[in-house]
Amino acid sequence: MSRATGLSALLHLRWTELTRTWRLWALPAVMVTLGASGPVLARYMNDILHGVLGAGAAALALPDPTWVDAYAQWSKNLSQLVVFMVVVTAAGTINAEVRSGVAALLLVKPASRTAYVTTHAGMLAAHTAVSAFLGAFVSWLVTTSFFADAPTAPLFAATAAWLVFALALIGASLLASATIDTVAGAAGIGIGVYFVLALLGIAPWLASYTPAGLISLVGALGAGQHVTAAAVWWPLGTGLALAAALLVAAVLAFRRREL
Amino acid sequence: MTNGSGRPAAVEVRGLVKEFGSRRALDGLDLVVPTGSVFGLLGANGAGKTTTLRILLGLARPTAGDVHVLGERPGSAAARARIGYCPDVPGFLPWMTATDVLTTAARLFHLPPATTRARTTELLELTGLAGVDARVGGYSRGMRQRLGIAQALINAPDLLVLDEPTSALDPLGRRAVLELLGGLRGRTTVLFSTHLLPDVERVCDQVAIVDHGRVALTGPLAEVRARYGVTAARFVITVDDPVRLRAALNREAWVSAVTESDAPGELVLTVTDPDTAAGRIPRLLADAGLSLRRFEPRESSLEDVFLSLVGASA
Repeated sequence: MSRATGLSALLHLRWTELTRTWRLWALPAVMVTLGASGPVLARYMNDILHGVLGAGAAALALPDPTWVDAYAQWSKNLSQLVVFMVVVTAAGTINAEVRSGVAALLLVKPASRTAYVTTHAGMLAAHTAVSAFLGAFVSWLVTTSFFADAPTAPLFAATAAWLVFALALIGASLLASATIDTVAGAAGIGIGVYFVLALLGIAPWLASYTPAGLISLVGALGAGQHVTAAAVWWPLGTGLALAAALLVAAVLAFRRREL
Repeated sequence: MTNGSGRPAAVEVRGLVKEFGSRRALDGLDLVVPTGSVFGLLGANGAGKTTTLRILLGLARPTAGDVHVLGERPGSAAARARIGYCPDVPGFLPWMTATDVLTTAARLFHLPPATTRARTTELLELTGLAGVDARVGGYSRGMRQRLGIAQALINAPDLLVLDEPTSALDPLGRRAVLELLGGLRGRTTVLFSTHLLPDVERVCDQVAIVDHGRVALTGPLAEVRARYGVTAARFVITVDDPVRLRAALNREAWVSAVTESDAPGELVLTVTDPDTAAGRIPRLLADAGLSLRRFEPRESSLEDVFLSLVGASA
C-alpha cells in the first residue's frame, strides 16, 4: 500500500518540514503563552479592574476569581484566537505547493494524490492536537498554582471538544486549499465556515445535534457545567463526521485538479 | 506502435486535444517518441510544448485523444515509477538542501539506502552541486535547474522528460547538460522541449516541431533537415570587403537574398539557381577585385526548417 502511494515517504517529508521550520514552534508557542496567561489574567482580573476603575469597581460587586474563570479564558482563547491560526495554516498547505511547483515535482513520482492530501491533513491534525494539549497542560499547571481545587477533567474535555471543532475547520480549509489558488481565498473560506457554524449554533436544535454546537460545548465543558452525554456526543460525532467528509472532499477535489 | 528496432515507442500520442475554456492549446497533436532516442520537442512560446508534456506526465487531462507513455496510461503508478521529470523552473521546498531533495525523491522511488547514497553523490557531482550545503531557497535559477535535472535522474528513469532544461543555464552549464543528455542515448529515452534550436541540433536524433497545438513535422533530425530544408540553395562567402560584394550581388537576378552572418566579412547568399551561382560568383569577385577567403555551400539548418514552418504560419 505504502509502496504504491508514497505514504511513508510523504509522511517523512511532512515531519521533516515540521521539524526544520518555524511551524514546529509557532502553534505550541501560542498555545503555551495563552495557557499560561489565561489563569494569571483570571486570578488578577479583579485587581486589574480595581486599578483601572478605582472606587467605581466596588460598585460592580465582583465575585472572587476561581478556576472556572481560568478555564473559561482558555476555552475562549481556543475558540476565538487559536482557531484562526489553525485555519490560515491549513489554508496555505496545498495551494502554496501547487503554485510553487513543489506538488507537481512530487506527484510525477510514485506518490498518490490521496497520500499527498492525507499526509498534510494528518500532520496538521497531529500538530494541532499536541499543541492544544500542551497548552492545556500548561494552563492546568498555572491554574492549580492559583486555585488548588482546580479539577483536570473539564479543561482537557473542553480542549478535546475544541480539537474536533478545529479538525472540521482544518478539513474545510484543506478543501479550499485543494481547489483555490490563493491562500487568502482559502483562508477566507475556512473563516467563513467558522462563522457559519457559530451562527448556526444559535439555533438550539442545531447546537444540540450538529457540529454547530461545538463552540458552546467547549465553553460549557471548560466551565465545568453538567452536560448530558447526548449533548456531548452528538456535536462531537457529527463534528468528526464533518471533518472526515471534508477531508474526503479535499482528496477528491485534488485528484481532479490539474497541476 | 514500434520504432525501427522493433521496441514499442516510449511515447505515443494520437489526436491530442486540450482546451482551456474557449482556447484550444492542443489541436489534434500526433507524436511518436522512439524508445532510446533523444527527442527534441521544438516550438515557439505558446505552441503547446509544455501542455503536451504535462499531459504525458498525468499533471493535466486531455480533452480528447489517445496517450500512452511507456505503454501505460499517463499518470498511472506504473508509468510514474519509470519516469524522471524536470520542469523549466523546478519547485522545491525552500528549507531543503540538495541532498534532502534527492533523498526525498529516492524515498518516493523506494530506492535502497546504499543506492540512494551512491546516486545522490554521483548526481550532485554531475550537476556541480556537490559540497553545496545551502538551502534551496537561496539557490539561483541555474542551480535550481541543475538540481531539478539531478532529481529527475535519481531513479535511472526509462523516460526522462525535461521542459526547457537549459533555459536558465550559463554556457558551461548548458554544454554540460546537453552532454549529459546525449550520453543517455540508447539507455534512456529523453524527451525535452525547447525553443533553442542549437540545443536540438547538438544532441537530438529525433525532432518534432510543434506549432499552434499541432506537430508541423517530425522525424529523424537529419531527415527533417534534408527533406524540409530551404528549397533555395545557400552559400557562405567571406571576402575582404563584404559591403562592395553585397552591392555587386544585389544587382544579379539569380540572387534572392544576401544577409550578413555573425562572423566578420561573411555573407550568407541565397540563390534561385545554384549552378549559375557557382559559375558566376568567382567571375564577379574577380571583376570587383575582391580577395576571397571562403566560399562554400551552406547546409540547411534546423533553424531554416523551423523558420520556414513556423514563420509561414505566424
